Order: sequence, then structure tokens, then C-alpha cells
Amino acid sequence: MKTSENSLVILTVTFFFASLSLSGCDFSAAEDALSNFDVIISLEEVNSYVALTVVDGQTGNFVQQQVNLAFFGQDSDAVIDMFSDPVTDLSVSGGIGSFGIRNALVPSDSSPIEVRVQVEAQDYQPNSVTIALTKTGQTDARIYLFREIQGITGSETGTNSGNIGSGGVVLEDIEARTLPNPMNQAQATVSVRAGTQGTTATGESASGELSVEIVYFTANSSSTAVVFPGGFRGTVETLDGMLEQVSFTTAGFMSVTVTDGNGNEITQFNPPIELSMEVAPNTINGHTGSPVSTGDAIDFYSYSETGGYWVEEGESTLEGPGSNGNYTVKFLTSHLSTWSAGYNDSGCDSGVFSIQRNGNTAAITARAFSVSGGWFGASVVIPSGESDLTILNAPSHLTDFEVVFEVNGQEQTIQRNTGICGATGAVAFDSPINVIDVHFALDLGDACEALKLNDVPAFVIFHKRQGEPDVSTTSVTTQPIFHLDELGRITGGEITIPGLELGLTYTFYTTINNERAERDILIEGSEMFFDLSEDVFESDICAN
Amino acid sequence: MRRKILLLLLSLVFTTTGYAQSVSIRVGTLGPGLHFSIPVSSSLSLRAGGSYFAYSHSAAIEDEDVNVDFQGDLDWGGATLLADWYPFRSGFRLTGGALYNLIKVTGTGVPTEPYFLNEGQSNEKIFQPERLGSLSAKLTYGSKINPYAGIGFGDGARGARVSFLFELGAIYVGSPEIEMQGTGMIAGSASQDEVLTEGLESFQWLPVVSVGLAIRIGKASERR
Repeated sequence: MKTSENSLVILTVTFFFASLSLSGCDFSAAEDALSNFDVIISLEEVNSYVALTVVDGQTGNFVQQQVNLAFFGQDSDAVIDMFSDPVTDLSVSGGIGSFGIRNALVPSDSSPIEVRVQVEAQDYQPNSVTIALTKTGQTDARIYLFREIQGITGSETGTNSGNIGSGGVVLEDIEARTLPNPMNQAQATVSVRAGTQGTTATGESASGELSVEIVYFTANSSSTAVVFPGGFRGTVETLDGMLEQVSFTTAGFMSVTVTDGNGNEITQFNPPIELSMEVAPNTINGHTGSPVSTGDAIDFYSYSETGGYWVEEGESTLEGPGSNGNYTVKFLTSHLSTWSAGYNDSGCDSGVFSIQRNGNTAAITARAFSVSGGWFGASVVIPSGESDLTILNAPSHLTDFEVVFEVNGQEQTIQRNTGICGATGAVAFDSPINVIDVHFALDLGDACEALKLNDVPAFVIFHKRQGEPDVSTTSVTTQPIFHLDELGRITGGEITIPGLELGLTYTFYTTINNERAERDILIEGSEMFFDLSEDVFESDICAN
Repeated sequence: MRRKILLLLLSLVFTTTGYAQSVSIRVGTLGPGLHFSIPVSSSLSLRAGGSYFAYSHSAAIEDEDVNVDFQGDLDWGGATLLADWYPFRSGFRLTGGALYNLIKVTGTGVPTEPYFLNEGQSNEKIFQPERLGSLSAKLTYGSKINPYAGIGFGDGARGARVSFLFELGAIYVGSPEIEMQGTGMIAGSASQDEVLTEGLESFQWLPVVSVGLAIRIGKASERR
């Protein structure tokens, strides 16, 4: 080639490579895109879920020990966790938690989903509650536990002891009697006669000293009503062995514990021991609908801690009245448990109780009781945005009732000397002062480097005024709106919590997969910040 | 019958221009290929051909979270229609034309072991592989027909019967598009395909480097 041609070739090649380099690829952008790629777990939305609080019946505070929940009943196989996995049991920490219902089931008033939840925690007596979901979205439920050795308001305790001979035979009569209840003078007694043979749970004969402890719950107080094992709407095993959903009333219930000198619980007695309970005269006979009188039959039930329901043991006859005006019911048993004397029926629903909120936008708690004898109790949360209440499955043989509504420190009461079936009423709250709806920005931390979620189903935020007992805690029924980064990972969110008072400090709680977070936040305006970045999301969900 | 038609077409091609044609085999970044070149003047040839390369790869990828079985498939290359211009009396040429690309890259990852969330803790959660699902990705280019420009050396129609060829060029393919799909619990990860597509946005040119041998068919043509 000629020199000029060579120059042209070189020029052409140079121009060609220059063009290519100008159109150069951004390798760092590609590397960033690839290195930022993350596997994200997509969780199925849970349409119906339960926001659960577990409260110490005596202190009103959350049970701090780990609480184990076990699910029973016809719809128990529909229970799922936040990952939509079916669960038969669940652990809750710090007294708050949530669980869901399979989306295939849609609860409604006409076809409610009912799950019996059996609850156990260290140092507490087991309890159970039947939770009925009648709508999609959030259903609030509260379970009360009480410690085995502690009485609570409305209960009295009695103890006694005696010697045991060879073969586990009790050498002397032992009678444990509670003090008279200050409200109605009622007492309860356990009598172990000399010659009774006691056997432990492991089948061994009792030995040493026999100790008897009895706790009797008699008075119709809010604190005792809520610890009625299984709740007043619960399951009964009938005399023919069938499990039925019924509504209970109780004239009183007692917890009996008998141990030997080695601390072993005595579970069998031969011959049976005698339990005696005094029944207040204003107790309504569930069979007649009138106050009880001498010779009336009353059912007695033992509580199955393993099944989480009451077992109908039979009926006994009321004797008396005694000098304190109370009747006495006695029955024999060869095993120990929690015992209740009372009635059950299929239950009925109230009519609609309407509420004029007048600006009280927060959730309202409603507690329903029978005023006279024959207790029942119901605790219901009326979510923000709802203004009426229907009490479901109340005992139909009650002759009076009281419903107490509470929001923002105000209480309003409806009281009726009629049965609760179909009853209606209305209450109006005063307009609150300095109460606002607060929009919270949720900081859920930086996107972490491991597994990510694009949703947190059944995410519940609970709150209460700081310093108040945890039992005053309510929850927010609206799911947060989660913010996702460009890769679809949760980085934040927002939620509006109604009915908070300016200038007050509130304690907020939430839990995710059994990781609990708690924050005290002073309400200073309608736009606030809720930082959850350092615990549940960083430590648990991100799995760093 | 088909064979007769093919022979007829070939004979037309080889006798139309009056110049010697050539056939070349090449190997390069578009894979192995076969080209036919037909001079239409003393300095201009038309070239048609194609290159294609397919590759499959399976691997068990060990990850600290979840081991994954990976299956990838690569389809690479395409059909070209090019014009070679020899501006000098030499084998140096400028080439322009179009590629009908057959480029497609696909891959599928399937977890082979459970994923443990909070392993060993009280709130441990186990996701079995069949529930985790799978992720698949496909890389393609929006336009199937792409312009090509290049330079090269070697001229099969002129000079020796067998000649060496070298070519350097680039195909403008536009930005690649990544489409991901997922199943199971990790299906949501597929939404990141837009991010990946953006990350590869600048990769609009495919470099072409090839070498080959050309065999002249017929008498050598005269250069200008």
C-alpha cells in the first residue's frame, strides 16, 4: 500500500476504536446491579388475624414470661403464623402476639371462625379462651392468667396440712377453708378424711406431710370474672362425652392443690374427697331463671387443663341457706382440678349498643358483666371507626347485666335489669381535649444484606398511656403501609394511630415472629416517628 | 427436488457477477460461522452468512444461606448480511450491514435445601425448598435486527485461493432486556429484573472479533 493509504487505514482503525470506547459500557453499574440483587421472601397477605394480649389477671400487666399457645377446636386447623404456615402451637413473648387464619376461610357474623386457645406460662395456671372471628381484618383478643399461689381481688385462699402414714394413707382429718369473702361472706372448703389414700401423678403413694391449698373465686368483680378458665363462652364436655360450645355462668369456682411432703402433687384420692362451695343467694338458677333456693340443682364442672375446656361432672343440690345467707353445694371428687359450680346454655346475642364517639377516635374497650349473682364477663374491643357493639354468645338465663365502655380515660355505663338477649342501648362520650390522630413514619432500618421480606402479614401495633397497666393497652386495627426499596425490600412504612392525646407519652409495642419491640413516645404533633430499626427488623427478619 | 432447487440457486449466485466468489469459515465472538462472499464490483463485495453458538451449563452453587441448583442456556450469534468495501488495493476493508440476532441467555435457579430463619433459636423458621420456589431469568435484545460496522483484512475473492481473514467490529444491539419470573416464596425477587436491566443499560454494543479462512471459488478477480 502507499503511504497515504497506510495513513488512511491507521486513521480509520483509530476512529473505529475511538467510537467503540466512546460508546463504552458502564461495568460498575452492571456490577452494582448484580451485587445488589437479593433473594426476597414474598409472604402471602393474611386477611384475617388475631391481635393477642396475655395479661396477668392480678397486676393487669402483660405476662413477661414466654407464653405458649396451643390451638384447639373445629377451626384450629385454619390457624397460621405470619409466614402462612399452619401451626398447632405458638410462643408469645412479652405478652403480645398475633396469629392468622387461612385465607380460604372468610369469617362473618353468619359463619364465625372459632378457635380455642389454650395458654400456658411458667408460674401461672393454664387458661384457655375461645376466640371468635366474625370479620376479616383484625380481631382483638385478651387472655388472662393468674399465678397459682396468688389470690386476686374477689378471691380468698385457705391452706391446711396433716400427716400421711404408710401406703399414702392420711392419718387425720384435714380441712382447708378459705376466709369469708368480704363482698358476700362466701367460703369454700376441702375436706380430706382420715384413711384417704393419696396417689401422686406418677402412681406413687403420697408420703410425708399432706398440704392442701384452696383458692375460691366468688365475687362478681371484673378481675375475677376475666380469669374464669376458658372464658364464659367456651367448650364443655357433656356427661355423654360430647364437646359443645356453650355460654357459662358460675356461682363460684375454686382451684385446689394438694401436695405431699416431697412436693409431689396428689392427683388421685380413694375414697374421694369432699369439696364445698358457698353460693350467694342472688345467683340465678340457669334452669329456672330465678334466684337459687334450697334444693335447687346446680351443675359442677372440672377444668381440663390438657383439653382447655370444662368437663361436666354432674349436678348437686343446694343446701341452706346458712347464717350468712349463702347456700352450700358439696360434691365428691377423686381428682383435683379447678372446679366451678354454675350453669350453661347455648347462649344468645345482645342487640346493638350504639356509641356516640364525639371525636374519640381511639379503640373503645367494653366490659360486660352480670350485676347480680351468676357471673359472666365479656371484654370486647370496638375498633377505631366502629361505633356499635353486639355482645355475642352471652348466657341467655341472666336477668341483669352491665356494660362499661371506656376510651380516653372516660367511662360510660349501660345497666339493665333485663336479660341480655336482644338488649339495646346507647352511650355518648364527651368530646376529648387535645386528642388527635397521629401519622407515624415507621423506620424499619436500612435494607439488610440477607433475606428480605416484602410484607409483614398480621403486623400489629399496640399502645397504651405510659404508666397505666398493660391491661389498658389497645391495638391499631389498620395495617401499616410498607415502603419498599427498588429491589422490593421493606425499608419503612407509615401508619395512622387515632385518638392519641397531645403532650402525653404513650408506650407502643409490636412483635414480629416472636421478637418484641417497645417504645415510649411523647405525642408532640400529628406527624411522629416510630423507630423500629434496631430490634425486630434488624435482628430477626433480616437474619443478619 | 429440494436439492435441485438449491443447486440452481447456487449456480445463479456464482455466475451472476462475473467475479470470483468465496466461501469462508470463521470463528469469533459470535461463534463459529460460515459466510459466502460475492464481489459486485472491483472494490465491493456482498457477504451473507451466519454464526451460532449454543452452550448449556449446570452447577450446584453453594451459598451460605441456601445452596442452589443452577441451569443456564446460552444461544449466541445470528445471521448477517454485509457489504465489504475495499478502499485500497489491499485486503483492508470496511464492512457494514445488519445482524439478525439469535441471542438469548436463560438461567434458572432452584434452592436445594431449606432456608433457616433464626436458626437454632426459639423462633426458628424453616422454609423447605419446594416452598421457596425458583427464579428464572431471560436476557434478550429488544430489536432482532441490528446494524454492524467493522474493519477487516483479507479478501477471499482476490489474491490467493486460500486466504486468512481477520475482522474487528461492533454490533449495535441496544440495551439488553432482562425478564425474570419466579415461583413460590421467592417469586417477589423477580421484580428486580428492572434493576438488572438498568444496570446493563450501557451494554449496547457487542464487540465482534473473528478470524477465518476464505476459499476462492473460480478465477481471482482483479483489484481496482
